[in-house]
Amino acid sequence: MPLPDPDQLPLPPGRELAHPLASATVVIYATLALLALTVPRGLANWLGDMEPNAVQQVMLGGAEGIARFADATGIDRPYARARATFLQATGKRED
Amino acid sequence: MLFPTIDFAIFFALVFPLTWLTNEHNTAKKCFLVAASYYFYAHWSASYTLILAGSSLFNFALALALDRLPDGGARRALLWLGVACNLGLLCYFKYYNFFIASAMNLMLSLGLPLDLRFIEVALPIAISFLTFHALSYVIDVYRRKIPATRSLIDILFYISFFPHLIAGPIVRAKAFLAQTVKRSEARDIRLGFAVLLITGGLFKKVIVANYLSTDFVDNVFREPADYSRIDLVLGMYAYAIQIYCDFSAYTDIAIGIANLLGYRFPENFNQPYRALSVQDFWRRWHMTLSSWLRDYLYIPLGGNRGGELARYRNIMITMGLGGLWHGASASFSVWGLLHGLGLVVQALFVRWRPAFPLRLPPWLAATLAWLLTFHFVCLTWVIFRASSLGAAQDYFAALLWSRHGWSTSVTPLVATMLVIGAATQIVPNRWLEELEGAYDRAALAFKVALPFALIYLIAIAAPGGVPPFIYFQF
Repeated sequence: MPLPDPDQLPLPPGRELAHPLASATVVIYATLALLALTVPRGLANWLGDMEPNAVQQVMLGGAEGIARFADATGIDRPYARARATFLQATGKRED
Repeated sequence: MLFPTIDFAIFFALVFPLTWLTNEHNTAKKCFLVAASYYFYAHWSASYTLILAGSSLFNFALALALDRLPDGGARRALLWLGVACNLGLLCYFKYYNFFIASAMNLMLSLGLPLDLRFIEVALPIAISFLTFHALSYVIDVYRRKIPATRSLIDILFYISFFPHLIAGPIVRAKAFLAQTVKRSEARDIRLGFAVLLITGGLFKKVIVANYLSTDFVDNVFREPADYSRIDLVLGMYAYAIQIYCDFSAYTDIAIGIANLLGYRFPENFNQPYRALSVQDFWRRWHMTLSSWLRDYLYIPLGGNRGGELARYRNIMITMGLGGLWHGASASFSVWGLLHGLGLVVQALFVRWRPAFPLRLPPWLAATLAWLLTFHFVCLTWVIFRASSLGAAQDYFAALLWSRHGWSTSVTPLVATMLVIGAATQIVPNRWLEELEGAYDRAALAFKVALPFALIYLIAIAAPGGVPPFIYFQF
């Protein structure tokens, strides 16, 4: 099996989608939005670790709002339970 | 800014739409991507963006001059000057202290103590990959394989494009610049391919490589004398899997991200631990470095021309320098030279095989070849991973004379990671392509659900923090 020609980059495998850009956009933002809703503390903690400034405060307020919404609706609980189960099963602790 | 972080997710969430919004105006898009790449690099060190910009400007001007000059001595001298400047920059930051220490040790052993000053600067991240890209461009222009580009922004973009900037894959100038002269085509996006590479890369790095490293490999390599023989053997295998999952994860994510932005990158790994010879290994491991060393070092040294002895010498020089490229230490040089020796022994074996009377069934020959190759690669990884040649020696000594019996400290989590890591070498590539095809055919809801579910599961099992990728230091 020789090395591939480095000057030729063939199109990756897979098929051309009908609306590739729209599909990619939906996949990227919907995935990030779902993660922000179901694991909301990640975003809030990340913003909380930043140097305080006006923009950070506004964004932190938004992230805390998402966290409160997730808490009220219970959509963050499966993650919390699964995380606790994983830590217990592996004998690890949250840093 | 590491790929598996919230910082990068937000960075990419902004870069992705802005790239495609500016796609109709190619120059504006490239300017934007250069700015984004410099911002990405500045996260490590803002001052070192000057090196990135300086190197790009220098090589842009050098290539223009090489393109205009007629063939001859002046042109060749200019090329050598350019190569020396690029390598000089790399050597200054990466090898200066190593050479100073080596010279001082040598003089001390001769009874002539020498007091030279070390430099106290941090190694600029990505300097090796930056140099590879710059040299690839300048040498290809010298060889008249490609014309020098008149667009400075194209060179700034080629050298700094953030997915490949830090740890590759090494993209050839000819292949990349051909993509920069026109706007990207959205129809080139392969969503299934990109999503599976990115999520698979996140899993390999955040889960497999991290747990193998923190829960087993680091401990075994720190104090090998405290571990049993079976732990030391498993430690060797675990490091082989760790470094594969770590490095291939980076390039998988880089290739996936580049594809989402409309650019093609070359493949860099192809199940390297399936290799049946050392040569086969280097055609599957860090493939873009292998072809770079072949085209810009091995062939210019004479390659296969000049007889068998010259060929073996060229292999040893190429692999020795390839080893040294990984870092300024004797361990990396020895690692590279051992691989060179492996390639030479293999070439000799192929040459003398007809003289051997023994004929093995093909399946047995293939099994033996795999066992030999895999264990050769794993044993040399010990030298690569150990902090020094002395530490590697300690590891091998403990492996031979361990007094800790056959107990093992491998936890169920580490054992699971070992099995998953081994599976990455066994699963046929065809299965992955079928999975990509099924993803592309699926409904949009499924297209969202799959990456979400995979990243969600990774978040559940992720360790507290993600250490940098191993190849960042190179």
